[in-house]
Amino acid sequence: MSGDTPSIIAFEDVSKWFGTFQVLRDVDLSIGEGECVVICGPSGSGKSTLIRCINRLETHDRGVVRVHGVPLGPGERLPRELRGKIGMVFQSFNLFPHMTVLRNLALAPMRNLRMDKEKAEETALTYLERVHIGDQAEKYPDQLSGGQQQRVAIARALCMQPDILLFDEPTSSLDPEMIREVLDVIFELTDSGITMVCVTHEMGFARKVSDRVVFMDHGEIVESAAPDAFFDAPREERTRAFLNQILHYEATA
Amino acid sequence: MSTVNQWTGRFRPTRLDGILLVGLVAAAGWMWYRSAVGVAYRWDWPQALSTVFAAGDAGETPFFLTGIYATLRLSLWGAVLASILGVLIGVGRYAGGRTLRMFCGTYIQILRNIPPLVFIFIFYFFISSQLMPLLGLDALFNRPAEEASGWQRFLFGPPALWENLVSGVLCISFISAAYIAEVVRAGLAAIPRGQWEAGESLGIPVLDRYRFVIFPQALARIAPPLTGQYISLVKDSSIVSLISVQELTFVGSEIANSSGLLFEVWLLVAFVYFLLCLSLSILLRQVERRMTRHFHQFA
Repeated sequence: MSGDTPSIIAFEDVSKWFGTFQVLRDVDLSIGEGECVVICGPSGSGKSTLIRCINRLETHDRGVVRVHGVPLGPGERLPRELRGKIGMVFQSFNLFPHMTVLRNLALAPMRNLRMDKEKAEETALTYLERVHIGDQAEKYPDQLSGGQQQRVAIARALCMQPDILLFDEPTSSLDPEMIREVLDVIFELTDSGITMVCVTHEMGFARKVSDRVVFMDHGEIVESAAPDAFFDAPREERTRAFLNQILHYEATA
Repeated sequence: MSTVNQWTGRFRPTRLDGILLVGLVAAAGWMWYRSAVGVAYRWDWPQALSTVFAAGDAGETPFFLTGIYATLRLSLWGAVLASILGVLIGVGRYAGGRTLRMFCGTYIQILRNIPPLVFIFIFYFFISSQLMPLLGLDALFNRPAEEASGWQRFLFGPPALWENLVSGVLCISFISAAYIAEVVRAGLAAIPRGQWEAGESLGIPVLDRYRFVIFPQALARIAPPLTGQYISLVKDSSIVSLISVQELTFVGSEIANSSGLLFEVWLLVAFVYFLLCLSLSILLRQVERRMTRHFHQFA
């Protein structure tokens, strides 16, 4: 599916249960290096759980997840050499509220990469500039708007120079007028070579930015296709139904 | 109730304040009347003050003052040890494996569910007498007094009473640690899971996650109950007078009994505790303010 690029993330027959409820059903998915994949689907379909299995915030119960070729079995956490190499941007930002923006960014490089303070803050400022908020470095998170906070969170993840960046509904808790600024920043990252996996309901963004759209329902991958094919000629009935539901107003507007 | 204007902080007395004030004055007058007429108590403040602050025969520090110093040392070291134990037990209870959680839970339940006084007697008679020789502490304490440096005297008091002090500190901190542990556990549990996940996904090592991400936030949240705990600790230090730790209450009761100036001496003791605890709460509130000044969401 991912064509010529070698795969950096691979799900092989992965299942997961929360109690008796099966959240992931025999998922097979391969994501190539540098690819940008959007995962969509109705709520409760297992999208978030799927990407949280990549950086092991969740562990699966059956099958194998390969990250950078390292096979991870059921219950296995992230091996040391991969820690910090898989950045994540959360729906609720999860910035550290008691630290300035600059310290939010500098902490992980200092503690994980053993970078000294000047170097870490220099790096932090570079990435803040990159998400267009270099002037907010000394503020505290709750002095910023939601959109700015999410951009700080993206910059914070970038400071660890990750090869993989996971987005878990990055715009879902934002006011509508701030969604654009965050999506723009994510768009600007597409030529950085970082592999990106993004759970989102922003279909316009998916179409413009992604190399591939994956549609999930009831814990299984229903359809996986290039964006044009996905939106213009969905193969599966369930995909069509989902697209009809969420695109209804856009289509008739 | 009195109303303090939220914006200016200015105090505007209301009718209820007047009524309360009259009530207070009446109660004080009645108590004075009962003590003077009812039990024919003869107040003798000058005598009481001179007794309390009299230096020893060889010009030693007045007995009463040594009691205050002992209470201060007891509270300080008790708070330090209780904090360390409390954090360890609280974290164990929050994040430990099954066995550790059960062990910490048991400790908390036992200490919180028997009266402090009973615990102190049990501890003193059964554990302390066994523990001290085991740890080799009695050898340490039985060194000649001259070996103690000025600093050691300042921090731990006269060497002759070190063993005494250690017993008291252990008692107080073991009890207080159980309460602090519960506060710490609740504080940790109140931190949103996203904070842990952010730290984990950034690859911040787990101890650093505690140190830089979780503890500072938890501390800001638990500062008010923790302040209450420290104040309780100072007050509760009075019960170790019953195992002859020579702190303020012990000294007060000695002086009261030997001089017969019961009311005056006990009122003085109460006043000193009041001052200690009041200053402590003012001090800790300042610390709390500094700590939480960036937590707009908690304000």
